Amino acid sequence: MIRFGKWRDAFDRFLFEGCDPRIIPVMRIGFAIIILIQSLVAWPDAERWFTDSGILSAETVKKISSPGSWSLLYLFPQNVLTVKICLGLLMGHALLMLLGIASRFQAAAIFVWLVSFQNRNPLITDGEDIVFRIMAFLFIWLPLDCGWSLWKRKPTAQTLHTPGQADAWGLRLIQIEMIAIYASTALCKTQGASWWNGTAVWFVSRLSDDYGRAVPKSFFDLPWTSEIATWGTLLIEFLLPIALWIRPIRNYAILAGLALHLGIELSMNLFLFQWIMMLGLLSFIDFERFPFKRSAVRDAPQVRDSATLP
Amino acid sequence: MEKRGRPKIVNLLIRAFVIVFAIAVGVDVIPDSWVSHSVIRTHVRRGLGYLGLAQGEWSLFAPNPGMRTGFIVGEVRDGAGNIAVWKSPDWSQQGIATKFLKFRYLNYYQRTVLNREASNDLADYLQRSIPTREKVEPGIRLTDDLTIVPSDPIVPPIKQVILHHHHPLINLAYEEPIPKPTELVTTETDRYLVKRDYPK
Repeated sequence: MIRFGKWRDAFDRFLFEGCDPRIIPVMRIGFAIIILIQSLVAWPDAERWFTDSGILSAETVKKISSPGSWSLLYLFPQNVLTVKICLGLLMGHALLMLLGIASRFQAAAIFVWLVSFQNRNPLITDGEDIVFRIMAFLFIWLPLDCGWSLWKRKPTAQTLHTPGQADAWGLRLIQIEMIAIYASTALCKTQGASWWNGTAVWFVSRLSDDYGRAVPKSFFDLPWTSEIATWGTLLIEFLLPIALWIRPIRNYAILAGLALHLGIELSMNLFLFQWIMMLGLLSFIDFERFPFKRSAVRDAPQVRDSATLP
Repeated sequence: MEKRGRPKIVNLLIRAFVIVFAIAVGVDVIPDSWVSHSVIRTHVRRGLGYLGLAQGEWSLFAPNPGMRTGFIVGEVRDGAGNIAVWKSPDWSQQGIATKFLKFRYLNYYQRTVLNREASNDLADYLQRSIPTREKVEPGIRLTDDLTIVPSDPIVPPIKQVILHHHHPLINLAYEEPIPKPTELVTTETDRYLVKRDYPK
């Protein structure tokens, strides 16, 4: 019993004392902007992607999707007006989240719409869309309006509550999700010969569909450049799931992760994937050990320890 | 007792929720090559799918970067036998802004060539949309070099759509070292996807 109590206390410290809520408003705003951008990009093609007069009928989607795949769009007429109203609602929820108005409700609504749109046309989605919807779900459990929020300005008893570390336990869920992604991709890469012999990034640079921004593909024609990029990617993806939990090196691990994603963003066109991943990495930020601690702490919403809450 | 400002039962539920989430995500993202036939994982994934939370393994250019390139070519015929050629964008020729704004197109065409049902739907869409929403080039495509020999413009309705996937193939195994640029050999390949007839 004593040992169980110790484990439980350690787990409670992990959940209720380790997360800093000051990053939450930053993540909320960043996420809302990303959802707005992806929705605006989808808007002109709403009919093409999400109606029966477009490129994929609902009947076909049901055939090729896994069981249990649901979408609110199946409940409505399959026409452009309906789809644009739904897309407009998604953008409305994202805009309200951006402003910090009842953001947890907006997160829940965004989650439902993202699942609905992604399940209606799984052929246009990729990894970033998975992160979008899981992040939306996890945002439901965060005190999203704890800073930079129009909602919080209303002086009600509820909104006067200032979240502390104990209220930021939802950040642990985002951290677990990020760790899962890095660990999974690192393990998947161990099965590939090109990741071991250092040629994987050379192959990636030949993907004319996705590759092609600031870094020319000829840069990787020299074997050593491809080897550094390949093994560097592998090293970072293996180290992040461990290093992000070790507090003294956590911020350096975050910087390594940001460097990886910015490097990919500079060389590849993967839409918003790198940005949602960088947003997820922010959940680990340790302001107490931040290199620019003073300015960061001054600018961020104030933390209040939960023990002093009324 | 209230711990950290919350009733005990709430803290208990939070603990349980975090543990269940962590286990479910962990089971879901383990690479398929590690646990290919796990009954537990099948059930976990199904449950997560119902909740809209399924993700699967994160392959991200693993185990090796798949060569997802090329474009789709459609040969369409009208009732009089005139032929026209429709092509999806050749992304290697598109700029950064286009690739960003049309990213969903890129995803769609990359995945459609892997799915027969979706290819059928694309053919049906082209049959309905040519020439009002989708532009075509009147003429016969010569498969070998993609040169198009002009012919009379087609007149709707379209009676037949044949789709091919045209893509370059790098003649290099993943186990081989990087060749010098002058020694790199690529082959243009043309893979048949579907043929759809529209008699009425």
